Amino acid sequence: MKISEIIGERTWKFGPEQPTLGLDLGSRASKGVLLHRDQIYAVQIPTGYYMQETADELLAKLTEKAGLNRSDIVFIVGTGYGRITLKYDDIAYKVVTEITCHAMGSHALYPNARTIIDIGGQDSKAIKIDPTTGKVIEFVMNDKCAAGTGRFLEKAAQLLDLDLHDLGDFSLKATAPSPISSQCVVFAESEMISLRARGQREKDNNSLANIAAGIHYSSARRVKNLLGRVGIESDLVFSGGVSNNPGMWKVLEDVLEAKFAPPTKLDMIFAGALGAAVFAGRYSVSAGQRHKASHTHAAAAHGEPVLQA
Amino acid sequence: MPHQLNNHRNESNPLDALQAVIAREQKAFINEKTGRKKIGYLCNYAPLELFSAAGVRHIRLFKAGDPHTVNLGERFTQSVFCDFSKSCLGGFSGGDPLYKAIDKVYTVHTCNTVKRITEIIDQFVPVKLLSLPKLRDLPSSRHFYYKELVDLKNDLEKLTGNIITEEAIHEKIVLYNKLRQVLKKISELRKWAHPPITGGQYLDLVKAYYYLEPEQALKLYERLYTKLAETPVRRGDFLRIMVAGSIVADDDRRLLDLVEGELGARVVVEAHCTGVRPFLHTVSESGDPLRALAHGYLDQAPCAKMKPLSDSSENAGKLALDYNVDGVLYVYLKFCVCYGIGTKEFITHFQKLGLPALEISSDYSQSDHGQLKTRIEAFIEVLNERKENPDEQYISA
Amino acid sequence: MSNTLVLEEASSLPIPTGERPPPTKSPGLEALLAMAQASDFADIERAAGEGATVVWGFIMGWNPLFRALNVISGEMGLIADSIKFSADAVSVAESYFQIPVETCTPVKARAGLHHMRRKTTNIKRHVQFAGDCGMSDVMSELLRKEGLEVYAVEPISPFKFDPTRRDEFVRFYVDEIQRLSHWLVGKPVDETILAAELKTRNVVARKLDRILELRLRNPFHVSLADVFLLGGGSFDYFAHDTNYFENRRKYIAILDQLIEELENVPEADDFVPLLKVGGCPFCGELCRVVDEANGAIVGNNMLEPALYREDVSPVESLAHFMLDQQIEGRGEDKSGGSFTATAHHISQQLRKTNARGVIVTGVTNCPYTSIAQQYWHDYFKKQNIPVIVMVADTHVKPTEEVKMRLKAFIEMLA
Repeated sequence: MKISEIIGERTWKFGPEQPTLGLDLGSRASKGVLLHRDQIYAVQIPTGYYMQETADELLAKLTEKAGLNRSDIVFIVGTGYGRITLKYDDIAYKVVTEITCHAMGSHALYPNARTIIDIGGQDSKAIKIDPTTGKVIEFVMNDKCAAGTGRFLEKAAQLLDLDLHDLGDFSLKATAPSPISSQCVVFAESEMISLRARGQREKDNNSLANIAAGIHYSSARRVKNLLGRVGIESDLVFSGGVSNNPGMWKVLEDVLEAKFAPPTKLDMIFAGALGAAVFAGRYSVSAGQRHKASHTHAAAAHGEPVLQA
Repeated sequence: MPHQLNNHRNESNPLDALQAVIAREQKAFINEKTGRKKIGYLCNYAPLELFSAAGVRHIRLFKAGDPHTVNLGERFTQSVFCDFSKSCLGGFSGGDPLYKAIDKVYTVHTCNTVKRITEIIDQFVPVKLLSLPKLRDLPSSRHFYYKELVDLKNDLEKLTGNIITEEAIHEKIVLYNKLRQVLKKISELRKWAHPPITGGQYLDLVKAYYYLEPEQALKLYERLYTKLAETPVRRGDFLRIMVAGSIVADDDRRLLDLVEGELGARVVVEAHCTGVRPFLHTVSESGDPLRALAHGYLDQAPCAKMKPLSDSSENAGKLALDYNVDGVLYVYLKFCVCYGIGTKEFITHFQKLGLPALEISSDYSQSDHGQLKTRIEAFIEVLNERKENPDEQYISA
Repeated sequence: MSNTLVLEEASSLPIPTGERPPPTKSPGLEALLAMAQASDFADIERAAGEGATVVWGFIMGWNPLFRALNVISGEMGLIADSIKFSADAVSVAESYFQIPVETCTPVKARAGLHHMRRKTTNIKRHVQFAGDCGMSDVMSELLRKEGLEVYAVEPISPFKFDPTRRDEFVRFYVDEIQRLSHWLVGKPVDETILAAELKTRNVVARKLDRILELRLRNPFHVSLADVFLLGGGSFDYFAHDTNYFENRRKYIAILDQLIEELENVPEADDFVPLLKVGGCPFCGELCRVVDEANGAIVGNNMLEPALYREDVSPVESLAHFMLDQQIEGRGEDKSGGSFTATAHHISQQLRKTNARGVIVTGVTNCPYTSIAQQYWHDYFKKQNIPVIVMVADTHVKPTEEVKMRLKAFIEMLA
């Protein structure tokens, strides 16, 4: 689709002359974005057992959507959780961390973004970016502990017999969020169980919603601590899988006493892949320039291909 | 809060009074504006005689503080430090009035934890770190400790602007010997079958040694000893416990409340540095007083950081036998280097002496009360069974 | 206003990492690798069985003394083995020794290994610097009951060092060195031999210094891992049981060869220069991450070519070296020095190397790491120098998150 359908009438300076691909391979979901001038395509599929197959599937789906061939793609940047060990003999390829990609993707969608809070299934990150360049200034991660990540919410959903994506909606119905004090998921679990048992005993119809909300608040407090380490400056952007949870959105705005930039038509789950595609565009330009340069100097020193697969 | 047991109503009065004096003196320390220097120290290897002879007001910094204080300290240390050291840093960074009143801190490199936090304390108040040789039997090490004390004396002279004479040091040696002696005697009252004071009460009264001016403390202790010694001798079959291990902060009474309050046993002796252990030695009253201090302090019942480790375990064992304890609670603070890693040495030695020993890792959080109680209760049950059936073989806890 | 592509603006966008120069061959490194592999220092058990003087433990900064006394330290081999047999050794430490679980893995693994080998080892003596990190120190006390004779060297703990007491401290360490020599070999050290060892060591140190300096032009020809391998031939932290890989003439020739190569290799211009500070050898995986992100570690505080004084008696020189190590915060926690002093030291390195960021590494569950990292982090943050703090377990491979964080940090500085 045209980028104007997502960002409106603003100038788009992230579309490469030749088509590029950004692949964000997560532990559960893999996302791909194809950029070409003023066009943008995005696809998401569940991550398969083999990363390469998942990546190839994304490539195929995206080129099909864009009406292009595989040979039209000039550069791919891969990012995401875990080692991206992709192999492309025919397309130039590079790996960039998801932190840098998320920052750039957020910057592309929100030109005034300064702080990104990204909460995924396994970890949460707070990233400070420079709004003039989209470059990362500072970042902190919580990757040791489930509290404040999607996993915490997943656990809660399980215990409350809810679908994960209903958990957020459910929490919005809370009348009095239960205080969940534990820092640690393992102990919070016990708290949740006792609260739930009490709710059943007292035949409290709203107890589940209150527990759900309590979990969200507990999570949000951890996120607030994380953000505290880089400081909150607007625009504040919420990305990552958990950003689709309306309950979390509300609770975070409440706890942080700040508003997030409103969502665009492109789901923020594609922020990483978008940033990766932007970098792919940039790499293809610089590689092209260097390619020209090395051809100018006929007695090439290395005799090796400039672009490394 | 001083530990109180309902069936010791008469004895608790002078003890209560002492706590009131301690509280008053802490306030006096904070408010004193005579120009006299006020110093803090952390460890029993800093000779108090020297501080007194220098004319400085001195207190030991050993508060446990509250979870907030520990949290403040953690900002410098992150997690893997003992809560005591975190508390200490938190006291300084949090602006605890007692800590704020201090002009200079003297620390000793007994344990590495103290050495490390010294470098951070320096951000809040001037600190001097003394080296502490660990090989007590080596003449060169003894001599080195003596030189450190000479350096300490010079530093105190610079701090106060007063010269410290040999006579002044000697006078304080005599005074502190009396103090240590009376504290030892008070402790030994706990050798009675029905001890006139509990372990908690002993730790609380020991605080006066660290917070009061020594002359004042001596008077109060002598009166206290007389009163306590007059306690009518009663039958008693309390379980007699020794607590060994890491430092027990001045307000850390969780374990004692559990053992003595809830479970009815008695802690009759301590092999840690805020119980009776620092009071078992005397400093020679003849010869060069600084040398006497060096020898005396090196010869004290050692901290487990001194070498060899077996000295400490053997000393603890001796104390336990001397006080005829039924069992030992070996309590180390999480992340305490010498008592944590030294666990096996101590436990094995106690077992060799036929003393059941329970090892407990502790901290200043309140979260493990249930688990602690269960373990100690079980241990107490085993001890009781042993007492009732001394001929039967029991596997120690 | 249309959404047309503005190519010029696009070209001003930052890119995360630049291009690595193509790898260059180094005959010098090949020779070094061959030499290291051929060096037979691994078989110290056999050497001990045949009558060589071999001990566990080492004293930071006093390796020349060991060499002069012909004493081999088995500690490096022990550390390597403790990584190989980590799971078992740690299990033994936690069960048999009751060492608290929250103790760092290196200490637990070494303790466990000592116990596992107590009946089969020929090496029955252990030397311990009592100023070493408390865990190692107290753990060594436990070894006394494992059939090892444990000898302790007394430390001085200089913090805010008083220069008027230098002579006194030097004399103290001189006495300790003599006492140690007697325990090790039954007689005082031959000062002529020691002087020669110090001289050689200084020659090597100057060459290593030159190599480190030349790496600022092109840090890829001799990588960080190569530098540590080099150090393994001579440097205290790594070399306790090696002796210039048994052939010092050849080793020095390799250093010269590397210097010549580095002087002639083309400059690399597009990399992110970084400092690495702190304990925990930067294992292969993390080195690779730095390489992939086009970073290069141009300075570190584990391998520093400090010189031994040659204007005083050799034993005094050793004493001065130890003292200065502690005062300047060099030698990590092994020398019992001041970590606040280390910060100034790192600042000097920053100025010298123009590094863009500092990677502060440390071992998991290490209190020294814990407090020092926090201090250094705050110290550099105040000066607006980008810092990343990484804690890793020496005995376990780093996780993907750890690697990713490091890579993102370097991307941030590109």
